[in-house]
Amino acid sequence: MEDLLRAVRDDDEEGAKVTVLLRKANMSYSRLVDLTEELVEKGLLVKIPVERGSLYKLSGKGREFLQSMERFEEYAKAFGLSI
Amino acid sequence: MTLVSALSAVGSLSFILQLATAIAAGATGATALKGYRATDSPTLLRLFASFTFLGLGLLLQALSMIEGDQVISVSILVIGSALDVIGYFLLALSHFFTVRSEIPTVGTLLFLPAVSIPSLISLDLFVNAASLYLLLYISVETLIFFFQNRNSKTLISIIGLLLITFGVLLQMLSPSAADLTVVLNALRLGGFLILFSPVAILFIHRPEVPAG
Repeated sequence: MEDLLRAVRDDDEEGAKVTVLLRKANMSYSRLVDLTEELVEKGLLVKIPVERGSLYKLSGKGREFLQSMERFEEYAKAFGLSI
Repeated sequence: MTLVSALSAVGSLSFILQLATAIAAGATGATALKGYRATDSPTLLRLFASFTFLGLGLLLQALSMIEGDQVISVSILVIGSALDVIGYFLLALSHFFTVRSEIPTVGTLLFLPAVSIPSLISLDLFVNAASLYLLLYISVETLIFFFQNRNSKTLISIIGLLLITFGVLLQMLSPSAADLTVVLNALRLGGFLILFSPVAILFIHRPEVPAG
């Protein structure tokens, strides 16, 4: 999930295309579709309908979640742990 | 200064050191809980549980120093020490669940004491031995993680763990030396304060959340 959110963040200016996310998040198409839908439902991603398909952007909540995740990843690393 | 008042002064200092250590452990646990609420990470949940048990154990050990009934005091001390062991076990378990495919056999060492439990000589010695073993296991696992990731914060935690381990080792080697109590508690406080340092770093370098 974090990998997908990071991939979306990389293309956050204009919004990330599914094809780009597929390459960056390294997962199957069906898994990506399920996960993006789940993240949109959770309010972490914003889906923007365009002419051919959709673009995805991080919501404020998604940005905050990702930053918390990265901060606490560092915290866990200090104890020699991965989250 | 009479011997009694000198001992009570040492006792008071030990009590303060133990209480401060319990607070440091509790604060570390509270931060892990905050992290768990933000990320849903099971590692942070185990870290929270571990430091909560350690904090409660240290608090009980401090309370056992307050003069009162000898039997109750010793009972509180044993329960406190047992809670400490549970705390160290949960921390060790977190390392066990952290996959380190390069050295797969290290994790199995966590369960080695189960084979040697019949060597139970006294409850006190057993509790200290268990703490020492778990602390050594956690230190080795943390050291492996450091060599894999080269994270300077991990190295700082290793120093903290080694201070706590050295304190437990000293306690095992000289359990009846009253004058060592302050040194042991100071070592433990130093160790827990160092383990608390990642919490401080976390809040000092708190990034701003941009609007979006």
